[in-house]
Amino acid sequence: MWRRFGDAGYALLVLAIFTIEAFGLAGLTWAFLLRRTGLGPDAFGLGEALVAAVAATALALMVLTVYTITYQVISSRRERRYAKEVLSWTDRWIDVVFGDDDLAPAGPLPAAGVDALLDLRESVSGEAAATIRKLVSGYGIDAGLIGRVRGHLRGPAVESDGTDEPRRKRLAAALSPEGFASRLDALDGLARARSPEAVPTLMAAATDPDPAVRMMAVRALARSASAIPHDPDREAAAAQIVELLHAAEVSSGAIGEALQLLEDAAPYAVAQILDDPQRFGHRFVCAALDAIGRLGLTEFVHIVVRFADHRRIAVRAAAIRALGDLGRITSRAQPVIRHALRDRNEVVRIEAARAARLLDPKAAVRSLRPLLEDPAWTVRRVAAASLAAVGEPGRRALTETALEHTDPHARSVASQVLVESRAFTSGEKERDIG
Amino acid sequence: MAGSNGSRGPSHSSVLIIEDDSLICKLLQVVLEHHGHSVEIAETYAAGADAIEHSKPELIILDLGLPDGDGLDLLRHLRTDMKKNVPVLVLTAFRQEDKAVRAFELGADDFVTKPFAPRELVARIERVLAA
Repeated sequence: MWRRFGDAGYALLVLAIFTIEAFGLAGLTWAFLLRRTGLGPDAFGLGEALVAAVAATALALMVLTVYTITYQVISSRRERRYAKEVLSWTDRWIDVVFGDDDLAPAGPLPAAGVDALLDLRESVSGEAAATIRKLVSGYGIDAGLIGRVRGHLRGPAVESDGTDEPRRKRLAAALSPEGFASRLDALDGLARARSPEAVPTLMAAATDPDPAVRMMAVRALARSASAIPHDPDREAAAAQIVELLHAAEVSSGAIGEALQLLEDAAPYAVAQILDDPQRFGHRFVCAALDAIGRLGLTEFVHIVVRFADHRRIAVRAAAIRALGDLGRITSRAQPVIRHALRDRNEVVRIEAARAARLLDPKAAVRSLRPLLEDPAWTVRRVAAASLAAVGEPGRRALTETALEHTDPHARSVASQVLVESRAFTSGEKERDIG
Repeated sequence: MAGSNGSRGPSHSSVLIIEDDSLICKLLQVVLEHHGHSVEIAETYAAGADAIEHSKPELIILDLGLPDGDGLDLLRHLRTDMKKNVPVLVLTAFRQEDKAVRAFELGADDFVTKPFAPRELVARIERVLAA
């Protein structure tokens, strides 16, 4: 978590420490210079200068330690008090949203009240979410957050009217006591508010020069777009977000996270990427494939299998991982998984071995057993774990391998997984240990 | 009442909520108590197992991601070791239907995805209790 308060105090303290140290070192340097030129202090005077410099350093360290400890104690107390306030506000909001009477307090709300309302927004959907959304708008929470993000926007995203207004705004934002933390807080608040009205502002924030701001903006953007009620609008927003992600320099992790946070709008974004994989590149394709698996978008299986023989290892692995994450191997995907078990790259074989546990038990055992002799230890390990997960036929295959296989590596991994899964009978365990 | 049908449910049952998120617990408690059910809360696997044994709930709402264990393991323990037939409604994260399928295999009666609509949740609870 970023610093929320005490920035000015910390800056002053660091300045004071540097000043103390600078004076100490300057005094010491001066004493040495004078002695070297024969004009200055004798050994006794130099000793005093040395003691003074060491004392200054000790004082600086002491002040820093006291500040750090005090800061931690005060922060911890403040956080506890704030958590209590949020809890109390949560109770109040639950009464407002689910109670029979109109108990909404008068605005403006304190920070704990806003946080509690946004937390509640995260937990519910349907009519209750609509009620909370009205409250968020009614108290001007989303407008305030949008204003805070807009006030801090930098770079080409800020529209200029020919005056140096944006420059003044940037300067004001830089000098603001809240500064960076305030901007990230506002973006976090917008992510939780899921306000479709915030989408244009977040689009601008997603091109901010600061990577942390871009990351937070993308996250908030995806969540806000997922709350757009009408399909055509949501599809258009998802398409815009994909283009924005493509244009902005965001990490692979941020792309993946954004696609998943789009929730019900994710299929549009995934389809857009996989329709034109050349243009978007392998990072986007991998993120889209991961989103398919994690969000359970089974309607994309026929597209995922097309990427299972892609020339890039990462894409092949992502395709197989997606098929496994979907939790069910369709008849169309079965030959793809079996083929991937013999892939030339071990990362792909690992994903295939993990997914193969979802084949029907006989096919799973038939496919996974040969992998217990795989040259890569990681593949052998995952194959053994998958066999253990298959059920009785898999555990039987593992037991036979552990006791009778000619390859010591296969015996070793099979017995290891069996012991971990507690599938050995006591007699078998003793024989193995023996 | 927003998010619910505003009427009391037909039955007044004791519901055990096994969920570590205090906000969700509070939310469920208010909604269920509004519909006339009595609510007990357990925030961990261990507290949940203990409450199942001693409180004899008529319905369990079970979160699958508990801090000290897997909700699916608790469900398995409930059905196979404790031999309890109490209805279980599972709470899962968004788009984790595979976990819900696994929960059904282990004997869950229904599932609700988080974030949830309180009105839908109450309707599902009433249906499970009436079955």
